[in-house]
Amino acid sequence: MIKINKLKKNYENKKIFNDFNMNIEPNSITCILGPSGVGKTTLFNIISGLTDFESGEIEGIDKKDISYLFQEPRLIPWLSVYENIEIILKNVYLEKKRRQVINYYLKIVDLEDCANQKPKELSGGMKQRLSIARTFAYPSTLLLMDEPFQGLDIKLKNIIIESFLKLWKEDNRTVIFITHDIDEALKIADQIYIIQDKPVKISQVEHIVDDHSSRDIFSSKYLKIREKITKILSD
Amino acid sequence: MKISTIKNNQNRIVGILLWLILWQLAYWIINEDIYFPSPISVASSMLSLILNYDSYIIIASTTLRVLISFSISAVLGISLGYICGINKKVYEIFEPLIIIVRSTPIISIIIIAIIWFKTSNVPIFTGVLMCFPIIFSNMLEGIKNTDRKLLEMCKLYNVKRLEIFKKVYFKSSLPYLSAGFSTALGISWKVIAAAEALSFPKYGIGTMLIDSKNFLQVSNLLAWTVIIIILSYLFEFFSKKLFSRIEG
Repeated sequence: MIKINKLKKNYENKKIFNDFNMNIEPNSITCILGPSGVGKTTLFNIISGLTDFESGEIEGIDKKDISYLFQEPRLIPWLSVYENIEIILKNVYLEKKRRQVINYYLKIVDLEDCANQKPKELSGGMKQRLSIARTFAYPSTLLLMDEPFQGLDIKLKNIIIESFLKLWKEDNRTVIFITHDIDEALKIADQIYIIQDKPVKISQVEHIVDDHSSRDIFSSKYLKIREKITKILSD
Repeated sequence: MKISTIKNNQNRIVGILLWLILWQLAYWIINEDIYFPSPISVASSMLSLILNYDSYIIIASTTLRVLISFSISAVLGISLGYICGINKKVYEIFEPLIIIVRSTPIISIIIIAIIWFKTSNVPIFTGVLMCFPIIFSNMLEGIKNTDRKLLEMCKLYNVKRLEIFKKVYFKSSLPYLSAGFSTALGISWKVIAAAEALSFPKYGIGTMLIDSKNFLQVSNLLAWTVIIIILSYLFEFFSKKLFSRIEG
């Protein structure tokens, strides 16, 4: 269990987090849903160690054991698709194992034929898939995903969500995932934390028990959850 | 693309011919061969230099000095530029030194070097002091302009420092380094010839320039000058080729 206890973080004299508490279930997908600018990315940066915080405790996380799927793919332009994954694994696996891991993840996201291409030769969706493959290829126990499907058209978004779920089912690692898209949250999350205001507070926690493959987010059950979340966010 | 390249080359050849004709016309008007030689007499001086074995020793000596001073400048400039780029405190320590070196007149550096070093090493020292700040500044600029988001990603995945230097910082600095190398190489030939002319080593193009002046062999002086221009151009050309190959 990952526990965030009494987290305090200020930015430009404003309290972003003040005694913020949150528990994350291991081996599940937790979604943090909230309006833009509320502090979701700041929370990720704190968890991953990229940003300092004033006080509080974060338990159950080893900083060296985190993968981060950023909002933008953050691919190194002059490295090939293969090398973009290889650079983060050089420190982790020996060459033979590394090659196996990279090829395995490239295959899952349908990019094995593009291994030698440079990011500029890939489409937006392919870049995002590569970024997802890189995130999963790193042997972490916690995966942070910051609005990874933002700006993609519906068809592409569904393909990438499928790729993501396919990868996730392989190892069931703990995922925390930020979005402000309710549909995305309903499709992917096992629990949804709705956060609002400054300092940030949790307004509601929704648990979804259905398996990902059997979810019909346009069924009446999900429409009710969507309405509830929309109401909370509009209040 | 090919047509435009041919046309550009044609224009260049026409340009060179035009300036040579103007030079010849000026020669006819001035009519003082001893002060203002014709392009033909410069070409004939060049030919006799090319046919003379000693010229190659002289050219090799100056080229070696350029290579040594440039290599030292490159190693120092790249490594210090990198360290200063990632560490503000180190940059603040080195900044005054760089400003002083950059602002010091070249003649002062040459005279100081004449006092401190053997004559054959004066041009190397001068070359380093002139080229190092250029490569340093360009490397520093490259490091400062490296995409922070990529660095953050590498930090998060615990990528080793050497790997970050090779795969992120260095590659991202290449366009800046390429420009710095071109400028520094151009300056290097000029500075080293000037330092040779003042320090007078046994072999050196600068020494030959002063010799030509002392014996009033202006066509020889211009022939050596043309050799410097050609060598400087060739070095810049190969440097650009090298960088475009590394950049892929």
